[in-house]
Parts: sequence; structure tokens; C-alpha cells
Amino acid sequence: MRLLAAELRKLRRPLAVWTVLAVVVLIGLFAWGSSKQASNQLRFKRIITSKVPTCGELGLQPGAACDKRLELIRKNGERAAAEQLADVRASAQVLSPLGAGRLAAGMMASLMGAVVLLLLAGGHVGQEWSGRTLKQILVQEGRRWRILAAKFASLWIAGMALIAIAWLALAAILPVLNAAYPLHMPIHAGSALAGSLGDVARASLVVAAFAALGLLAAAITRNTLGAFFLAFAFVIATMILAGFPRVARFTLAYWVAGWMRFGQGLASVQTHIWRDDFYPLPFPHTSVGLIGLVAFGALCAVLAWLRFERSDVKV
Amino acid sequence: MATTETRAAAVVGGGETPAIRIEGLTKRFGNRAAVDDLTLEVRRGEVFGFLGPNGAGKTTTIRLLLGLMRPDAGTSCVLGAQVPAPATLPNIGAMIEEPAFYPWLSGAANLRVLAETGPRIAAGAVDEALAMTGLADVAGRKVRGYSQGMRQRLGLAAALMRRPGLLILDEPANGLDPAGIREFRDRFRSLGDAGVTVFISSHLLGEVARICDRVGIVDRGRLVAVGTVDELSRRGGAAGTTQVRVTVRPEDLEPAVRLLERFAVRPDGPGSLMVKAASGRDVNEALARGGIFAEGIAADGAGLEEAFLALTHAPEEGAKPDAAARG
Repeated sequence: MRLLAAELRKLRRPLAVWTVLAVVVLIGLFAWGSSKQASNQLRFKRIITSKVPTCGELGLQPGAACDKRLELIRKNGERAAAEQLADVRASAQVLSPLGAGRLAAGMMASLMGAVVLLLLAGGHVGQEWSGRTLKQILVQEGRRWRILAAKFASLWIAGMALIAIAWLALAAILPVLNAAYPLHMPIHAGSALAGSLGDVARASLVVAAFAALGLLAAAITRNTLGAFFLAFAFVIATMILAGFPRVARFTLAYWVAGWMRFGQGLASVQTHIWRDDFYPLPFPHTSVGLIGLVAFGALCAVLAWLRFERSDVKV
Repeated sequence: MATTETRAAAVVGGGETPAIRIEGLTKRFGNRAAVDDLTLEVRRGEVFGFLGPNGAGKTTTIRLLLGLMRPDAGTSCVLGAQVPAPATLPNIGAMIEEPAFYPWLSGAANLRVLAETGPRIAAGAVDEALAMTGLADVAGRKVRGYSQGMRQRLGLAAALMRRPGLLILDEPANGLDPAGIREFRDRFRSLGDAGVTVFISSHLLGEVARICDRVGIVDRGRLVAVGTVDELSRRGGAAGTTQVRVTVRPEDLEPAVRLLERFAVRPDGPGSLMVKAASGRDVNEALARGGIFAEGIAADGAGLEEAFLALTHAPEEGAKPDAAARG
């Protein structure tokens, strides 16, 4: 625990502060865009339910044929309006202070979180080599696996703290946005909170996988920028490869999407920046995502340990 | 390969486990052997100077001793435990080349981070180490604002904060001003007198000569000589001579040069002469016979310098000093 405390103390650095600020600003912008979009959706729903054409506008004579046609249009409009309403209702849940945890978790479990965690990993792990501080650590604690484990745990804690901070920031911003873009939907506090907590719990595994990836990249490149760019290139590559049906099932992008259920429901609110369409493959099952992520994280951690354990410290 | 004679001298024998025991240690970087079949023992409680030109393998040896690198052959033991020996690290204070710290943290916070990284240390040990190295007043300042000398002091504080039984120091005087060098020298000597084993790698032969009980000289990864400063200085003199610095009053300078003509003598600054003689006593005697009393007579360690130059080769052209070791 003392070693972990030391690693967390080291994380209190300008890079972490700027990262937090960037996350809060970006996630705030997403919330703003989503609020605006949900409000527009509500307006559109009103338009499609209030506007029913006349027989003349349809070029039909009043009578049974026109009535039948108008009935069909009315039903289609009502169905579309109901769908829009469901979307807006779901959006309102996410855009409530209690439900905003889904947005925070989704963003940190997707590309935004990957960038943030890999940047932190570059600075927190890779810089021990480029800053030549690694020798100082290793003459205090010679069991390298403990150093690596503390690095991993501190990165994971930082990732989870960022989710909490982003959620808190959203909880502060959203009442203002809700006032500017009112949706007039009832919020079910219990289900909003449960949805948030569920997504945060799922995101914890993705954050761990990103932290393990960052750790491995740092152990391979042994410097700040190299660690970030190598890991980030891997993430982008996995997103691209997920577009190829033959290999998609074996990509990080596929596992993350399956585990986080990205793109399932809540169509009008962007809760993630990640690939969520794997056509012609079916959307990955949650268990596939779970197995894939656990295996990926474990593999990264083991490779990082092997690399670190066997390497000479020349800095 | 080290000669049998050098090997025998390097191994001290005796009942007590040596503080450092190195046997046949070899480390290669590609085709180049940075450390080549090195065998050496450092007794407990002695101040041992580890000398060698740039690229001789001093830093690599230290990294091997601390478990930062793995040897290709041979073994080393520190405080009786075979390296890598994580359990003994808390009893070893180490400073390797220019110490590096987290620039966004204060000096005190850096030490606390390092203290938390290893086993628990005594309460107040960090503050004590900062005070001991003269950093108490700047302990709250961020390290990014520290001069090189201050960083060097902080490195020493980090090495001392666990009150170690063995100090391994790689060029500790780098970046220090003359007062700082003297302060460090006195600190190491007093630590040695207090029973702490000090293993010190340095280029400052004069400083090493002043504080070390024994000295080992390495060249191209091999141990080429080991012994007390006097023993090595005599070897350097090649004719049983040593360098003696004599300080006299300015008006006595000319007569003193005449009186010391039978030795090799040369002026060495105002009122100062450098004399090659068997001992300081011979010089003193010669001056006293002529009625001149020296202001000061001191063995300069230049004999050690000559031994060093005679025993070692200049670094190969184009070779970067300890390049592979520094990565």
C-alpha cells in the first residue's frame, strides 16, 4: 500500500491536471451537444404528430380511400413519434445528474479514455526511463513486479477517478443544460443511478485493459512519447481491423463494444467514441467482451512484466 | 584477464563476510566487455575508491552490484547476499551518476516518494537526511528549480535516509563546488569512521587519495590494481617516490628550491612547490637542514595519479564513456 501511495503521489503532476481539465471540457461539450440534439428530437416529434396532411394535399378525393391513407399516415406518425419519445426519454435519463455516469463511463471506456490513460501511462511509466528516475526506484525496491503492479494499480485508480470527476462535472453542468434545453421528461432516479453504476462497473474492466496496454507500451519503448504513440497506434489499428469480418472477433474494439454494449439503445445520446457496428458480424455478446478483455489485459500485464523483469536498467 | 597477483590482492580474506564480494563478474554489450572477469572484495567499514578512466566499466559494475543489470558471467554479493538481493537493498544507500528526480515534486516530496517505495524508514529520517546534506532550507522547493549541485546533494540525502551499512556512490562530487566537494569528502570519511562501508567511484584522484582506505583501479572492465593509496602511489612513482606539495613563505621560495634540488622539484603556484620524494619526511628534513620551515607539507596524491595513468589506457577514440552502460 505504501508503494501504491508513492505512485499515486507521483501522479499529482501537471500532466494529470491538464488531463483532468481536458476530460471535463470534452465531456461537457458532449453533454451540451447531446442536450441540444435531444431537444431537437423533441421538437421533431411534435412536428410529426401535429402535422397530418389533407386529402387535397395528398391529391386524393375525400372519401374512403383518402381516409384509409390518412389513417396510415397518422399511425406511421404516431409510431415515429413514440420512437422519438422513447429516445428522448432515454436521453433525459442519461442527461440527468444521476444518469450522467453512463456518459462518463462510456467516454472513459472508449477512445477518450484510451487517449487519456495512454498519455498518463506514457508520463507515469515511460518517463521513469526517459527521466532516468527508474534507477532511483529500483535501488529502494528491487522486486520489479511490485513496482509494475503499483504502476498498474495507480493508473487504474487514476482512470476510475477520472470517471468520477467527469460524472461530478456533468452533475454540475447538466442542470444548466437541462434548463437551456428542457426535455420535460420524468427522471426515474433509481434506474438512472443503477444504469450509471452498472456502466461504471463495466468501464472499470476496460480502464484496466487500457492501463495494462499503456504499461506494456512503456515497458517496450521505455520512454514517454514512444509509449503513448505505440499504444495509441495499437488502439487505432484495432478499430480499423474490427471493420474486417475475418479478424474483427479478435480485436480489442470488438471486445470493448461487446462488454460495454456500445450502440445498444440510447440512439440519440453519444455515450462513447468507439466502433459499435461490426456488420455482417452480429453485435458481440457481453460474455465475449468479458473474456476478450480479461485475456487481453492479462496478456499485456504478463508481457510487460517479462520485459521489465529481464531488462537491464541503463538510464 | 586480471593477473593472479591482482586477484590475490583484491580478495581480502579474513573471517568476516566482506561488504562487497565480486567474483569473475562479466558484462558484455555486443562484442564489447564493459566488465571483464572482475574479482574484488571490499571489507566492511572501509572507504574504498573505485577508479578508472571513462568507459572503464565503473558504472556498469555499480549497476550490476545493485541488481539493475544482469551479469553475463560471475557473481557478486553485497552484505553477504548474492545479487540480485532485494532484501538487502534497504541497507544499501546508492547514488548512481547524476541522480534524477521528479521535477514537479519538492525535494522533500521526492525523498518521501522514495522512502515509501521501499521498506518503512524511521520517523524524521527524511528531514534528518535533508538537514545532513544542507538542503533543509530548500526542501519545499520544486526540484525543477534545483542546481546540479543541489540535485547531487538530494541524491546523497536519498542514499543516506535509510542509514545504510553500505554506501555505493558513483561520481558523487559531480557538479559540486569546491566547498561542496570538501563537505562531501568529510561526510564520507566520517561515515567510514563510523563503520559504514563506502564504495566510491570517482575521477577526482586527489579526493579519493584523501579519504579512501584502499583503492581499486579498473581499465577496460578489468581490475588492474588494488591496494592502499600509499601502495599504489609508490607503484606510480616507479622509483618509490611520491608527490609532496610544499608551501613556504614567498621569500623562502628560491632557497627552498635550491635545498630540494636533489629531488625533482617544480613551482606549483605562489609559495608552493611540488616535489617528487620518497616521503614528506625527506622533504621536511632537507628544508629544516637549510633553516627553512615549511608552512605546509602534504602528500598530494599525484603519485596515485601517475599510478592511475601508468596502469590505465586513455579511452578509445570515438568511444563514449560508459556509453552502453548509460543507455
